[in-house]
Amino acid sequence: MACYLVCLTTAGGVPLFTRTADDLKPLPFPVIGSINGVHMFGSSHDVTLQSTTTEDAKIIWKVFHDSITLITIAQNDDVDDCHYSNLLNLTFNAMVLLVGIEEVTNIKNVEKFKREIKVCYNLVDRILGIMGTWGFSQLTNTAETIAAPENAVLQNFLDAFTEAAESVYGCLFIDGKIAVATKKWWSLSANELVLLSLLLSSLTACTSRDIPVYLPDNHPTVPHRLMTFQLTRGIDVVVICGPSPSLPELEPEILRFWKPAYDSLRSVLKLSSRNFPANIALDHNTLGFLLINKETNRCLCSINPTFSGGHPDETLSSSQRREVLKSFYKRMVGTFFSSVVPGSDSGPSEFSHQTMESYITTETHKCYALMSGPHQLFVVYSDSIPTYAMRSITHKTLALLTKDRNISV
Amino acid sequence: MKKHSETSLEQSAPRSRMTRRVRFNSRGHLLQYQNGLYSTKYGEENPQLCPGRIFALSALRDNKCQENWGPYVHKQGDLFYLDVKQDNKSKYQQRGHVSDWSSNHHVEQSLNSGNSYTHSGDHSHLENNNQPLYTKSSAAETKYNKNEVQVSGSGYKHFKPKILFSDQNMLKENDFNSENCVESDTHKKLGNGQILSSSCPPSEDKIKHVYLVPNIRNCCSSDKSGIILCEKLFGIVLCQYNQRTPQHMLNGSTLEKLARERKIIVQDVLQASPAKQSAQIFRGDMLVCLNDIELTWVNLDEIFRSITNRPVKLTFQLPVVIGPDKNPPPSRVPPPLPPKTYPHKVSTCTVVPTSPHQPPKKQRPQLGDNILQLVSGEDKSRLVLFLKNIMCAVMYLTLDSPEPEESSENTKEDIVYQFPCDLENKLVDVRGLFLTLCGTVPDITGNNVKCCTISHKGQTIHVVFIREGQDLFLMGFPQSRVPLAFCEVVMKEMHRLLKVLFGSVVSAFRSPKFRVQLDQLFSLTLHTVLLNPDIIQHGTNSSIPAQVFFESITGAQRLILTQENMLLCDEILSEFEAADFDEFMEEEDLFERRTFTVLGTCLYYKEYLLCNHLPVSDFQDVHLFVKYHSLLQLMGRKSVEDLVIWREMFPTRRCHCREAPPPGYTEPTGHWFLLLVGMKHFLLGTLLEMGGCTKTRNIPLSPDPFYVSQAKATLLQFETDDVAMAQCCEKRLTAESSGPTLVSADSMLLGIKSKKEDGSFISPAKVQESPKSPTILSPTYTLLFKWPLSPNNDTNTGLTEESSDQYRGGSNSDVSTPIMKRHGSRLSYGSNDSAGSGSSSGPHNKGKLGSKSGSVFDVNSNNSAIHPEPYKVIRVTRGCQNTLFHAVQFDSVEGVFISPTPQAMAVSQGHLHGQVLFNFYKSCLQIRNSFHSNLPQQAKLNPRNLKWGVNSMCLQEQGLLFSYVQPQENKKTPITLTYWVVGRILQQDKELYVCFHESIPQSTVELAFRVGFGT
Repeated sequence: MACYLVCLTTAGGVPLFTRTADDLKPLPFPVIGSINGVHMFGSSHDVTLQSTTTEDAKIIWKVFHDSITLITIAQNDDVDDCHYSNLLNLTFNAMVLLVGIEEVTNIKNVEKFKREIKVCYNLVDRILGIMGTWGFSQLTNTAETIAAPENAVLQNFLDAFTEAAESVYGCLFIDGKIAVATKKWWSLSANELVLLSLLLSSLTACTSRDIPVYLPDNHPTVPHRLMTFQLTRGIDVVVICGPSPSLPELEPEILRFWKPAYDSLRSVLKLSSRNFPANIALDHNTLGFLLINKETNRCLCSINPTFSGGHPDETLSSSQRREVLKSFYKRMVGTFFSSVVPGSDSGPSEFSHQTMESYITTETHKCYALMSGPHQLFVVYSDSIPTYAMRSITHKTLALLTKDRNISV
Repeated sequence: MKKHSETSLEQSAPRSRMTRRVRFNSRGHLLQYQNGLYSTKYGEENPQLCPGRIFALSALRDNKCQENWGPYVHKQGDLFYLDVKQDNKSKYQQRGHVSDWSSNHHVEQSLNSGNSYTHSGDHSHLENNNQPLYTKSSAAETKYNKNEVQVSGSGYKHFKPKILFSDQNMLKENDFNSENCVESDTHKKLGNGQILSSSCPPSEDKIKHVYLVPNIRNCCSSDKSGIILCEKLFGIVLCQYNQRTPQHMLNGSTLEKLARERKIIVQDVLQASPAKQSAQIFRGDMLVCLNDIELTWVNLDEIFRSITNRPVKLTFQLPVVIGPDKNPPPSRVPPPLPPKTYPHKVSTCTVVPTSPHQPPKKQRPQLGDNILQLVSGEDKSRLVLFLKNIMCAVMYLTLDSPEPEESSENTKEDIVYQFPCDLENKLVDVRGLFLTLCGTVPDITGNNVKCCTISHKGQTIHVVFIREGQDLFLMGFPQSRVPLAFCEVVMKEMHRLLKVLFGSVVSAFRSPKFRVQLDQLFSLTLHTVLLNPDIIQHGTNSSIPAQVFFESITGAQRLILTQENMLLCDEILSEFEAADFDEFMEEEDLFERRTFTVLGTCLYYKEYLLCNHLPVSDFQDVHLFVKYHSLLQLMGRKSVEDLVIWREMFPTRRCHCREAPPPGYTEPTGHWFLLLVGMKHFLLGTLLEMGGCTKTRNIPLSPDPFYVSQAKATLLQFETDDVAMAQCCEKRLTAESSGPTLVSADSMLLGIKSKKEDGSFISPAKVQESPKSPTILSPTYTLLFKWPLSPNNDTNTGLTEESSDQYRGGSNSDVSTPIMKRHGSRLSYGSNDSAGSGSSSGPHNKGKLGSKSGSVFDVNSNNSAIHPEPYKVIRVTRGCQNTLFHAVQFDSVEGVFISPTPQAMAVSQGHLHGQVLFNFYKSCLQIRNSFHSNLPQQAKLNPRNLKWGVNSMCLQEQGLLFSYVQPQENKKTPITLTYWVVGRILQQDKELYVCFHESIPQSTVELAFRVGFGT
């Protein structure tokens, strides 16, 4: 999504770091200087420059704690600004997560800080979509989950393991998505949930690690230890601990606790492209859906809801479905729907009545969005679905997804 | 309007002949029967305009029309003449400001603008302006008050020179009605010593004292001349005497006298000067004293040089009305101008040398600024005051300005143009930000900046840009008044309009001669965009998005007439376009080439487009002009006596289109002119081409009286008895059934309350079980759901079952098939089509020849035969109750949109309905925006954008379901109103926006179809 990110000190305009998408040339220093300069010029006149749009790009400026200025140059999707500022917000929190709020807000030695901040490059790249696939977590500001029938079993394993790690924060990630987590883990703020999920997937795979993290909303000044253990390829268990136990102490416990769960884990892993139980049959026109719960900060997304064979003439590839879903979500939230994304309620509040449902149809597909209590459901259908049928099918889909006991969104 | 069987003209031209003109239409209807008096005039009136030209007199007032607008033609050939006949009791009057600076005669009729526009019913002076017949007819129309108020604008300004010069002693007593004269007539010593008799002695109120702070910074030490100093210090341009001119006009003795007693007269007041700000000094005032020292030409230089930066008391003597005008046009002094600063200090007012042959009444009209007042009735000073409180700006900045001097920190060298001129707000302060931004960003993104959002003190402001080389044109509006989508539309349209009007954006802003025109354009634009006159009038919130939405549609609202009337309009316009003026031209002209080719015409009635014969691109150009000059609002609000606008245009299709012409054909190069002629509520736009097969003439051209009179004749044709187009339009506008019938949201909610009990709900399964013939199925279907549906749960289950059943039947088929199955043949495409075409064919209309409305709408009379009770109304929704709240249709091929008439809207009123419409318009703007943001996607070549998404495909339809929960007292279940707002784009050129209750699932394709045929 984003093409460039520039991070500068607000006071002096000293560039701290820049991130650039792979296929682009890095920004020359004078350009960085002038795009920061216009913002500084504005603020000296009591004018805040928020965003600038060209035909295909958008530039967003944002200042955090009067200390850090973040500027991103991103593709212009004709969507509400809240999506862009949400990304910058996450980026700043990513810096806090890995460095701590005190370091970020009081930069005493710029050169030293530049070295320190290097640890968050991967995470920032991940958030902005500069590197790797760009998921729904940062878009919706909710933690992406995987709903497997085995989750109930795995919950017991996780609770036991977390207890053994002398912690309350435990979480099992499957393919970067949360399968199960302890109650305390779910009580983390939306930002933290998203950042921890992204942090895990941004790190290179290794059997175990122990890194310090600051929880940006709950404990921005106190470092915690984030320990991750790879159970098998694509499956990690994560605990956030205090000073003890140490990594070597905990490593032997892995085998003891998780060996019995191996079969369950394998079967969950098989589900990782579908993301929800196979026994739920959705309408065969459904190409993908995104279910968000605003209250629990969770989302469930599937771009492979029907097993192949339903439609031999696939109109959209998986990546296209993902893009369509993202684009539809961005188009709706902030303009017609409010969501977990901060600032997304300003657009919808301009209407005197609440938007409950919405759809779009194009030549290749149709999309439907539905708000129902805390749930928001965004569905992509193939174009063979009649427009009038979308509403009822979407309502049915929502009922199916929310009533299923295996799905805890 | 009576048929013009006889025209009695007071003027009997020496060579005149009577001819008769009879027009028949194709069906043998008598269209026009005219006795015309063709008078040949050899320039007695306006030699510069029609040397040796013969007037056509197909209409009544051919002579008059020239008389009226003739003097107001701008030097560049432009004309903006407007004569408003107001049909209300407001009696303010626009007065003429007569002045002449061509020679020693300074004859001023400077009327103090004051608050003295009251004109107590004196009508006599208008008699001469109006032809007798016309007066008769207007008297017959009791609708219009006799208190006609004329607003005369000459080349955008109210200068209506009415002084006839016969000799040196040409000045006669003015018969200006005494109550009109704020300043009493008095003795006036003219330059040549002639003393005019006057009715009252000079009095103290003829003297005014003005205190001004001299603008010392403006002048440098080298300025020695008092005249220059006066101009620089106060912005007062004094009359400089041309020594040569008077000499042949005056005899020796008066010349000597003149040298002694020559008065110091204000020739002009510069924009943005202290004098202008004071709004008390006008052209024609006589400067008598400065700080109580009597000023003469002898001590002028000396006294002015002694001025310091302290306030100065200037004493003026008011000029006297002199002039022999029999029928002085009521017009008024322009209201105080907003102070203006132009970096280049362009004086828009200069003395125009007059040719010796020409009576000096034709001065170069000052391009005034009263177009705003004229068109919108809004006082300019009020607008300026209003703009001061709003963060908005229109600026044209340049990067390659000379380096600002170090000393002056607040130079505005980079501002080439700014409106409002002296506005000092944050947007102006941070203009450097915009310049830098627009200079830098293209380096990064490869594209020019489209818009940017800034916030200042909690207020969000959108600024839209257009970059032209080193220059930058920007407009900024606060978001609270102008949403971003609308900003972009305004910019896009303004960009096009500037190119159409001035050739290019650069030339528009760079050449000083357009400055005043730009001022007018922007004052009107800002007035419309920011003030939204509808809000002021109605005071409701709901019309803001409506206004914004309609303004953002690049198209005219169309009034659909009956077939017969459409044909008539077409015929009349075609006749004009054919340029078959043989009968009206004299022999010598007859065999010459025509001066212009008529490219096409379009006809408006009030705010509605009736007929358009222009190519769509040209029509859009013309419509943009009309739209951004608020002419349609004017035509809708007032009955216009006379409106003539003449402008050179640079049509997009000819001048700004990069497409290569088809091989073997090139469009003729030449010049294009827009002629707008308005009369009553009709406005006729004509695009004329000079070039190709026309006579070659020099540029610039003033409006051709012949074409103007022909256009007027064309308009008059619409008013003849057997055409009576105005009545037809009015009938159409007030007819209940002129479009799809709407229903109010409030009544819908009330209906729910009352009908809650008797909802007869037949389960969809029943219908499934008993297969019925299509004709029976349709009425039954309306009973399928308890109507109106409440609470919501029932709806959902019902819908779910029903549509999923359907969907099983119609899987893997395209959209239309299931619809056909569901609705039966009556509502399927095919049958609808035949019904529609049937209604528009001949037999149907024949029966309805008498009534001029509703004959196209018989789609439903066919349908209603099947319904148990015959519906007279046009329904586009299905179900037993009308569920349509609103519908707007836009056709980009023709550049028109169709929306319910106010009358139709009036049926559906209510507080809740207002909110529904508010949401409707607001979301339509969004939907429309997303339709169009997707269109130019092919042009993108940037590899960054190859990401595949919704952005890169065509959006066809977007729907939004709104829900309103009305809380109920005493713990009843709250009543919910849910309704859809759906926008659909059909084949990239037609757009449809509908708002309907959600109770019955509607297919928008079908709605679109029926709306298309129903209106």
